[in-house]
Amino acid sequence: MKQTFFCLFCFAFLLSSSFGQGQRPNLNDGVPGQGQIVGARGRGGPAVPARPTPHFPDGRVNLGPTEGETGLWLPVDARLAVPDVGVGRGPGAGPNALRYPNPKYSQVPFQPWARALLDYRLDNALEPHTRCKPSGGPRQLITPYGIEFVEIPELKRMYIFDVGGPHTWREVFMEAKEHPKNLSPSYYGHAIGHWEGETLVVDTVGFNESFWIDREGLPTTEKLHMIEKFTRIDMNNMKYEVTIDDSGAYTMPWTGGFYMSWTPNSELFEYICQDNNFASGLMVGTAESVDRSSKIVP
Amino acid sequence: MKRVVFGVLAAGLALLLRPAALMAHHEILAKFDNNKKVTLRGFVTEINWKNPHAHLFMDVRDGNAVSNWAIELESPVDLEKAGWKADSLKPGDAITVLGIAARDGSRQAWADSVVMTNGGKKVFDVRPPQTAPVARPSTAVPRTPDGHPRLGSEPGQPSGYWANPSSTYLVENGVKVLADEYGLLRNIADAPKIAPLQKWALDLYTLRQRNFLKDDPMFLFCKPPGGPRQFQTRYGAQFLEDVERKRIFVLIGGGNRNFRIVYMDGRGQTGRLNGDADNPLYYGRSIGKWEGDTLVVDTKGFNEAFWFTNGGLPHTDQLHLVERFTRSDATTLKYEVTIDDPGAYNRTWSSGWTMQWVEGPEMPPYFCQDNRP
Repeated sequence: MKQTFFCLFCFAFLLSSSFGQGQRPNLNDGVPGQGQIVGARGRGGPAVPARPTPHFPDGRVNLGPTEGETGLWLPVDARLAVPDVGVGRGPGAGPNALRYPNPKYSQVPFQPWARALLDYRLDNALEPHTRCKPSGGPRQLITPYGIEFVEIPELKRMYIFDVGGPHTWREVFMEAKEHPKNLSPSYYGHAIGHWEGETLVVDTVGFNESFWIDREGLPTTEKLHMIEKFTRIDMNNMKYEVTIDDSGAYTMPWTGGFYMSWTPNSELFEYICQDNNFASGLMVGTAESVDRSSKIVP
Repeated sequence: MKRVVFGVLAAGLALLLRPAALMAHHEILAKFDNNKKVTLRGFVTEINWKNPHAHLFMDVRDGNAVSNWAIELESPVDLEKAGWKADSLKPGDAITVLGIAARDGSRQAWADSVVMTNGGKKVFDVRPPQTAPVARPSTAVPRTPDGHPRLGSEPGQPSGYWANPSSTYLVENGVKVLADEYGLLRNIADAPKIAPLQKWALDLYTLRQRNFLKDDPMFLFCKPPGGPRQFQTRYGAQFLEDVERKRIFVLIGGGNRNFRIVYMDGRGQTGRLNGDADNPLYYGRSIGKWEGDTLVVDTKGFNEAFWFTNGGLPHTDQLHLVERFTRSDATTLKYEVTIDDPGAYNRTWSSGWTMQWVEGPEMPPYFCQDNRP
């Protein structure tokens, strides 16, 4: 039991260890098998001169690898808001990393219950993502394993595939006119995308309340309306901004964001969160720090 | 909320849901006993609207005591297809549940029907409605500019996916064996016929069958449906051809909504550097090529942590699959699979079925992990 319990938190441990060191990796030392955690390589901001933003022959921005190359995006300092005291450096951020000017918690227009819930979650972090739940919005982008954008222009679809988390995908309907009525709330919601110049803008509604949008636990409700902006500012850097418009949890819309760093020579691979997931057994077991409030027994 | 216990079945009932009477769900028969019929009258205390199975909780009077029962239902995806919404029942509603009770004697039941005792305006049918294939004016197979059939959607046309497999369990071609949707044999004596199983594999398969498939890792722990099983689930599969990067994504509606990648770029069956290079995988390493109008996918490198078919036929890490996908007309996908696993079978054998094109709706957002802890 102890072993399985420990493994449940391997992922969380990996995150904190790989993201928490603040070292600045060197893009050119990417030799595998040197004991580095995979996700920690290739990250680190603008120190390495970057090629310009790649485009497809038809002029579209290419959010993925250029022909004959491979690569994935990894987040840098992936937070949407920061503590008032002891801001520190978020996961994956070296001293020279590009950092988005996120609001401090005191500047986020929380409703009182939402602030109280965030504080609770900060103290009792057992977030759904670590239990293999799908994670919508920014949280999909925040793992040490990377994401890839796959655009299928003839079908007017953009897909965002994640390796970590539940190993699934998000679908963005490009140029769709409006969101369907009476959406059943879901983890990824219903997403409509369009290009504003060089920026991919994704407008999403129809979220459920079963996931966190970041690793810290910013609360959201089914009223969440999210506007995300993805701008590949050069070959190696992506600016990510998200506006949280959720009158259920906040008194007004607010915006946070982070940068993502290109990790060349890497591809989507099979990562199955459930591989070592014995959580359902733990729920009826004795591990004290696990939430056993679920009445569902498989 | 009033937690008064409701003892009398009032008139004017509305049938909320009624499953197909003899539909034997593998997970259901593992946990619940078809011979333990129960009728529960009481009040809803809670609805848990999550996959893989929704639950409602109700207070039931038992003598002078009031006890809370967990009532297990179909998936929200299926319930919503049948017209039931998350808020169709609310805490406090008086209901009567007809169902079967848990084998272990705990206060759990699978609902065969849920009847609302007042109001009663809606009628639901819990049977997962087979999504009717959409008749298309032309049966011509859509093709890509370079001439091979499209396994996915056609530009400018409604999107779609493949579902309603004509068989939901593996059985060797030419063998007639009956099983239910989840591969549970109607007659356990048929076990040796279903495939050329080695002795140990037959013993394990028989054990899994005798346990009503209760150890199914896909249901218990949401492990992926690797191999043919990804084309056996209710929730379908979708093909996404990424021409620019020479690969085909298989988007899997069942299990935990994973994706599998078939590489068309001529690479070998090696893992990803900086990724899964050293691990045997749930979905294996798949490489594909077109042979005429058929996509042929060769997959090796499986692990043994999952069931590769409904019904629990065993496999080993020597499993080598050759899958052939042929869109025989616009609305039919022929699936053929050859199973080569010298660790579990005496010889190579084949199986196959067809799937139907479901046009219009998106593949339902089903996540097994939804109500798992």
